[in-house]
Amino acid sequence: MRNCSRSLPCLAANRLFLRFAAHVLACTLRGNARKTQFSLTAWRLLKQFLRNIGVFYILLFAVSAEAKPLIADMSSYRIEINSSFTGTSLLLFGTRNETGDVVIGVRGPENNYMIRKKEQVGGFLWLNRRKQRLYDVPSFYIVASSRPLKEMRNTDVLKQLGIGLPNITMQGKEEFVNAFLAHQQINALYMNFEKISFMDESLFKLVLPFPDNIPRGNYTAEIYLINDGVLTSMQSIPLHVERTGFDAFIFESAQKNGVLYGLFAMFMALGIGWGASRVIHKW
Amino acid sequence: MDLYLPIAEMSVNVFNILLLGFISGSISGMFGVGGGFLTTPFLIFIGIPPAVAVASSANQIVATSFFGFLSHWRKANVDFAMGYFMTGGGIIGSVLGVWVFSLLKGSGQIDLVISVLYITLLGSIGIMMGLESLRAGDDKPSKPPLSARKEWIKRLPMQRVFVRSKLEISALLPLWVGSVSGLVVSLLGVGGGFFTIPAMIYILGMPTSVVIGTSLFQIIFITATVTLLQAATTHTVDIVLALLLLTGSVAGAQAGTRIGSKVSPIKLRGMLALIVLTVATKLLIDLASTPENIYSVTLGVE
Repeated sequence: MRNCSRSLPCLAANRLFLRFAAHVLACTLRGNARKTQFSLTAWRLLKQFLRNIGVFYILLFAVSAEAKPLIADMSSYRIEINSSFTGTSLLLFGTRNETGDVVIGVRGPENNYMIRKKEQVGGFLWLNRRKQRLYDVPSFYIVASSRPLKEMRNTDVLKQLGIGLPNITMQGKEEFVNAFLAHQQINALYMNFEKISFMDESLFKLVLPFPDNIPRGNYTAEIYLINDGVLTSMQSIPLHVERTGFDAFIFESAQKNGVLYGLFAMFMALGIGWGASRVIHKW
Repeated sequence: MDLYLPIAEMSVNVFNILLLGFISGSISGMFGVGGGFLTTPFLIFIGIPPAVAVASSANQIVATSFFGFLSHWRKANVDFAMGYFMTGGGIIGSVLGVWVFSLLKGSGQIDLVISVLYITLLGSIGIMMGLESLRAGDDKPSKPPLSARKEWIKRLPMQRVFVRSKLEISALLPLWVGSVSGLVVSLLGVGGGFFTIPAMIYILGMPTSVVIGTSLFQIIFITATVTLLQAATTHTVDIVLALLLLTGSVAGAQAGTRIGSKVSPIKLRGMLALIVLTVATKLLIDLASTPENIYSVTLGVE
């Protein structure tokens, strides 16, 4: 869905331009082919190749000549988790070339959660009595907007697109869903920024904070331009959070060779206990 | 200095974990308990997933108890025969515990049963030991142990001599003590030592000098098994966390063993009674007081 807006007029123009260019190209090439007598197939292949390149450049030209309503990018598409990882932040920046509210949503991989509720039993004991399962809920979510979402005039589009903390789809009783939202916010896994900073009318930037407890997996940053309750443009940027180096090695070993890993952990502990004893008691 | 833990998936302050290891190690060296009752709740408190906290502190205790055991072995303070029977019982108890756990889980009242059981067990042991150490004063011989007082215990089959403990009792007794501790460990994850130490003193009648070394001997086997099982099934042993904890706790165990050898056994018992009672009281308060947050969130739906 990269820059899907204004697609119709754009495409029509492209098609005309394309047909014309193809015609010109084809004529020139046919002329050349008559002059040289050898290998007609080679010419056919070259023709195909040139045509493809031609189409590519024409397309590129047609798209970039016209200002996109929304362009955004991030300082990095990858977060590497290693031993010294204590959280990080990325810069998301962009420009809007039309009026409208910029809304940014960053989603982490989906997970299942169990929410338990304690209740008083027999007048004095507090025990887990009720529970609620939540399926396929984003494990991480940042929402940010050029003005508070509540102040936007027509919020139906936010509901439809699932933008904003209250609009995350969760099948469950309200009290449990609210408890979950509160829990995620306390742990800095769900965040709501009401202000995206603008340098002028069009240039914007947002610092995305990622705490040390972020889940691994595939994230997407989605940037929307919403004008008076209508989505006018949208861009999606993928982001990968993954382990590297020593941590990746340990995690892989624990997951794939559990028994071997366990044996290693056990003998490491015995070895250190024994070694320390030798050092201290010298025997 | 912060370090990211690969299995717990979060970063921790290295010095906090080393200090935690040191404290739990010194308690382990002094009293012969594992020290998991201290590390596990603290790790959970700083945000480490409970399963990772339990499995990694088990791995830590392997090192601490082996280290402590070696120190006691040097002084010939380990009754191996008793230790073998208790370990055997521990295995039976753990298997039984896993079965009871699934049974209780099916009934939906597992939290209530476990909490009440734990508080009752710790409370009664703590009170008994506390009274005993107050009454006995300075190393005066206290009441004879249960095994010497009850006639039916003396008539149990499998009577044998435990040379190091200078006892002639039925092998079923250490087997039973071991299995109850195995049951407690597999139900609660921690706290086996709280039961075995007093049971070895008051039920079996073992001399206090041998109790700690023998208890540590048995704990090595139990925690090593837990480490292996957890690593193979739940993949929750965080080797980096365990390494930090055990570095602190081996140093702590050395300090603890030193202090333990200088304090009279009866005072040591009194101190252990105090710790046990504190843990029981804290659990009771946790259960009875209005929780800060009545909702809890865990990853996964099981």
